[in-house]
Order: sequence, then structure tokens, then C-alpha cells
Amino acid sequence: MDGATHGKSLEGTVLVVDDDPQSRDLLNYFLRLIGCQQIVAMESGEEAIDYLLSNVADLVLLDYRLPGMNGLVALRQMKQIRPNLAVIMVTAYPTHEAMLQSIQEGAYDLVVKPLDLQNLEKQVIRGLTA
Amino acid sequence: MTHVYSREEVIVETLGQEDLKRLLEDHKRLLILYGFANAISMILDIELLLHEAMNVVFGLVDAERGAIFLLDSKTGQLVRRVSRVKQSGDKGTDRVSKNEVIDLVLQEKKAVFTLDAIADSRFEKSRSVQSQNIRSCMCVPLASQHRVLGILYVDSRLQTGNFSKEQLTLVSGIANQTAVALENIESVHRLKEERKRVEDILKALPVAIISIDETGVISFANPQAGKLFGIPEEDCLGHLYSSFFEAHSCSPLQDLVASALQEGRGVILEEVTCGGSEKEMLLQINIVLLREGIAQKGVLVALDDVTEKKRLEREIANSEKLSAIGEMAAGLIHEINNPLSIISGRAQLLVFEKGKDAEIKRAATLIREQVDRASAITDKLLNFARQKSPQLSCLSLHEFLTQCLETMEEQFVSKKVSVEKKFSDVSMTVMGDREQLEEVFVNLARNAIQAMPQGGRFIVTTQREMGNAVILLTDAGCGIPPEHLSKIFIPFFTTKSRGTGLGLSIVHGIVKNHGGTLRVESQVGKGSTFILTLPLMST
Repeated sequence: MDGATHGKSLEGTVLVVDDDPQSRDLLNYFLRLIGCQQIVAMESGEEAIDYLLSNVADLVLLDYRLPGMNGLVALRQMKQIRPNLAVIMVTAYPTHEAMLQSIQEGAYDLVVKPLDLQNLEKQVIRGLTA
Repeated sequence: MTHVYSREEVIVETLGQEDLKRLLEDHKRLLILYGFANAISMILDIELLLHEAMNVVFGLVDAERGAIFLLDSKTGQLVRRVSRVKQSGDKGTDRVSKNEVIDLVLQEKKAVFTLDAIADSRFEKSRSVQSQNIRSCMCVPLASQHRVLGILYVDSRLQTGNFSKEQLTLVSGIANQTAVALENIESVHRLKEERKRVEDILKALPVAIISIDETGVISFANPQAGKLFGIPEEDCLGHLYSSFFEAHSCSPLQDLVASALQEGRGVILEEVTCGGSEKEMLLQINIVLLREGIAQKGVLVALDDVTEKKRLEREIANSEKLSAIGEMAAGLIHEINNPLSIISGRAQLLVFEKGKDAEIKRAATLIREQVDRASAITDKLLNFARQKSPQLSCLSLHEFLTQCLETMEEQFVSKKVSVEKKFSDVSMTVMGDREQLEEVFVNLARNAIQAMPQGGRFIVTTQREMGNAVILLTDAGCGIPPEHLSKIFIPFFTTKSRGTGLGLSIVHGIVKNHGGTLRVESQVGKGSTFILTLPLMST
């Protein structure tokens, strides 16, 4: 985790959408550690869409399986609101269909739980600097 | 010595010649009547019966013409069935046709007798009677229990007063006997038809039916029974059930029939295994007691071969169970991976955070490694659960199988397994996902190799059956114990010391997703055959 060691800060707002508070906490902590300054955590797709209608975000870490509006629908709506938004889908159940649909709906990347944080750091940096 | 005259002798002595002649005539008529009664009891053909009746009538009366009409049961029309004409010179030989005398008999249901019809006031306006110049005439109904079945008619166009009232009585008697005989023939025909109908029903039933009489002899077998025992149905007949069932390795069935016959106990939906090791079959049995009043008249045995049905039921139940496990696995993976992610993530953070103790970092690394290990299992379970739809393309089956075997050649050689291909002469094309089906065959072939640690023969057979390609993969390995057979496709079931027990459940899922089936036949110590069907591409 280079960010944790080099101490550089990463510009931009990262939105974390996960219904599991422990997962949100982990990502929040991790993102701060790698240098993210602006982190907003949400527990549902609906909340995230609301937020994006009036706020700016540069990267979204979006859980695929969410209660209510699922991750895929949330992704579609996010891309409608902000077509250039980088969205990394996070899934604990990586099926072929899930991957294919995420890419088709315009996901920037897809990561699988349990998370490999070293890889995720690279993906986040790439997402924020793309 | 004084002669004492008997009553009969007194009568004969006192009779005049005329009386004697009349008595002899009466005697002759009686004999004719008795003869007729005897003759018709043997006749089962309507035409023959009517001819015989007509003959007798002509032997009794001096008629010129005669006929018997019967009412058609369907149309209600009177139909002439028999007629007779005595050669009568210039009057011609025309047969009796319907006339007003006949109409009157039908209408009043009683005999009409006239000494001279054309002069009879009842027929003075009757066109046919007048035009045909009918003189002497007798017409009686063929009636049985108030039901008129037809008409017996005699006449003479030559003479008046040809018939007497006595003759009318005789002819009526003949008509009555004829009617009773007709009813008997009808009953016999009805019984025969009924019997044929019952036999037709028994023959058409999809189950095997065997009737055994009270002496234990097989008296009826339908075609399905013959098929079940592999012989023509008529070859089942005449045997004692005990020796017949024993000869066909059906001792349990023999016992059930014996208790039904001896103790009068029927059997409902009992299942027994019969046929011996050669042709083992599961029979569903119903035994019905046949009774006449309180007397038992044998049994009716219905046998349904449910071997294939039960196998399919097991297969469906197994398949449904696997689907349910698949769904459960999907939920499980999600629920497990989430906490694993947190555990692993926190451990990773501990490793990379500055200022942490080396011992903590070592422990965190260990935690991460164990999470990865657990995650590897959920990955494999995912393969089973994800039910990925196959990406279909046309595959030439024999070419594909040959390629799969080639990719494994090194493993076969190193484990001393010889491969034998017994491919069908007919080329077959299936629609399938090449990658997934390769996983199926490689997995099954690898299992075969592992089942033969000392080496052996692995046979790949293909057959075409209906719309399916059937692939049999046979090894000469250790075989699968019967108690394991129903479990081998269930996730995590394994007998190997190393292995997740997911391979065969994944294979099963893939085949199912291709619209195919997968089952196994195995004998411990002899080997196993995995039987796989895949739908052929319709041409």
C-alpha cells in the first residue's frame, strides 16, 4: 500500500455504497490510509443517487448486491446522471453474468470480495486519476 | 282265462279308424315339436334357427308360402330373414312380402288366422291381400316375455280353409320356442361381445394383467404380460402360477399370489424386486380377488414395471435437490465472502500500517492466508452454484471427445491407463459450450484414472438414442459403494482424502444446463460407468 507509506493525498471525492456497516468502515479506513481526503459513505443505491443529483463525486465503490435498488440498477442511473463517473463494482458473488452486465452498464472495474487491498489501491488511484 | 283290458286297450278298442288316424297325426306332430325343441337348443346361428322353424312349420301345415320376418333392433323395421315357397303352377313362385295381415299381427301382438283372407271383412280394403289373392292364412308373432321379435307367416293363394285352429296352436308353439331361442342366441352374442370388450380393455391396459383360476393355473395374460416376461402372451397360459413365476425369477410375486389364493387377501400397490440379477426389475403389484358369490374364483394380478419410472423419479429428486443446493450455495457464498472480506481487509491493513508490532503483522499475515484458503473453497462452490448459461456452438461429438482424450494423453500414459474408443458409426452433432463440456469430460476421465491406481482400461462409448447422444465412460476401477451412489453429485461429498467434493456436482450442473442427463452405474470391485446424454442438434 504505497499511499499508506508515501503519505501523498489523493484528490477527489470517493463515494462508498455498501449496506454492511463493517464493510463501509473498512473501506473508509482503507481509503483514508491510501490518502483519499473526501470520502462519503452511503448504505443504499437510492441514497447514492440522491447524493449524485446535487453533489459531485469522482469515484464510486458500489456493492453489487444491495437491498432495494440493486447495484446494477444504481450503476445504470449513476451513469445517466454522470456519464464520466468512474464506478468500481464490488461483489461477494462474482458470476459471469454479474461481470458481463457490469461492464455493459459502463462499470470502470469490478473487484471481488474478499478484497485484495493492494490491488484495490491501484484501481482506486487509476480511477481517481483517469 | 278272462282277459282284463287295460284303460289304453279299452280306448283303442273303442276307437274308430278316423279317430286312430287323427291320433297318429297328433302323435306325429308332437314328435316334430319335440324334435324341433331339441334341435334349436343346439343352434347358435339365427339363420339356421329360422330355416329349421320354417321347415317344421311346412312339415305340419299344407302351406303354399311361408316367411319369417324379424324386427331390426336398430331401425325398428321388419326384415324378411327366411322365406319358403311351394311350387304352385300358374300362381308363380313369388315370395311373401309385407301385407296387411302382418301389419295387424304386429299392431295387436297376437295371431291372425283366416280361412279366406280376401273374403275376410278385416281385409276387404287391404290392397296387398286383395291383389295377391291371399286365401288361407296364418300369421303369429314371435314373442318372448311380451316383446315381439318378429313374425311367422304362412298362406295359400290356392285354397280356402287350408289351415285349422289346431294347426294355429301348433304354429304358435313353434313361434314361441323360436322366440325364446332367438333371445338365447342374442344373449350368447351379447355375452361374447361383452367378454371380447373386457378382453380388449385388459389387452389395452398399459400394465401386465394375468388371471389365475382357483386351481392356480394362468388362464389369461395380456400382451404386456408377455412383454414383461419376454415371451408371447399365449405362452403364459396353462402354467401353474408357482412354476411360472419361479421360472421367471419372481418368487416374491409367487408368495403374494399364494397368500391371495389361500387366505383371500388382496394386494394393493406393493412393490417387489423380481427378475433375478440378469434382468432385475421393480414391479408394482395389485392383486384383486375374483369371486362368484362367496366362492373365490381365482385372482387377477396387475403388474406394473416401475423400474425406469422409479429411476427417473430418483434422478429428478436428485436434480431438484442439487438445484436447491445450488441456490443455497449462491446465498452462502455472498454471506461468507462479505465477512471474509472484512477479516482479510483488516488483516491486510494491520500488515501494511506503520508502527505495528512484528508479531501482530505475522499474525495478520496468517489470518489473511487462512481467509484466502476459505475463499478458495467459496470460489469452487461458486463454480457449482453460478449456473452459468452455456455459450452454445455446434460440436462434432467424436471429434470433440478425441480432442479431450488427447489433452489428457500424458496423464493416461503415466498412470498406465489404456483408452479405448467405441464410437458409433453414425456421426453426431451436439450444441454445447466447448469449454464447459471439456471440463465435464476431463473431470470424469480424471476420476476414472484415480479409480484405477494400478492402471487399467478406460472405455469411451457413444450411441445414438432417440434425439440424444449417449456417452458412456467406463472404467475398471474400484467402483462406488451402493450407499455412496445417490450422493456423489451432491456438493462437498467426497471419499478422497484431498478434494473438495465439488467436481462431480459441477459436472452434473453443466450437463443439466445443456439439457442433458448424467447418471452412474457401478459395481464395487468391477468399475463404474458414467452415462451422459446430450440432446442432438436437430438436422
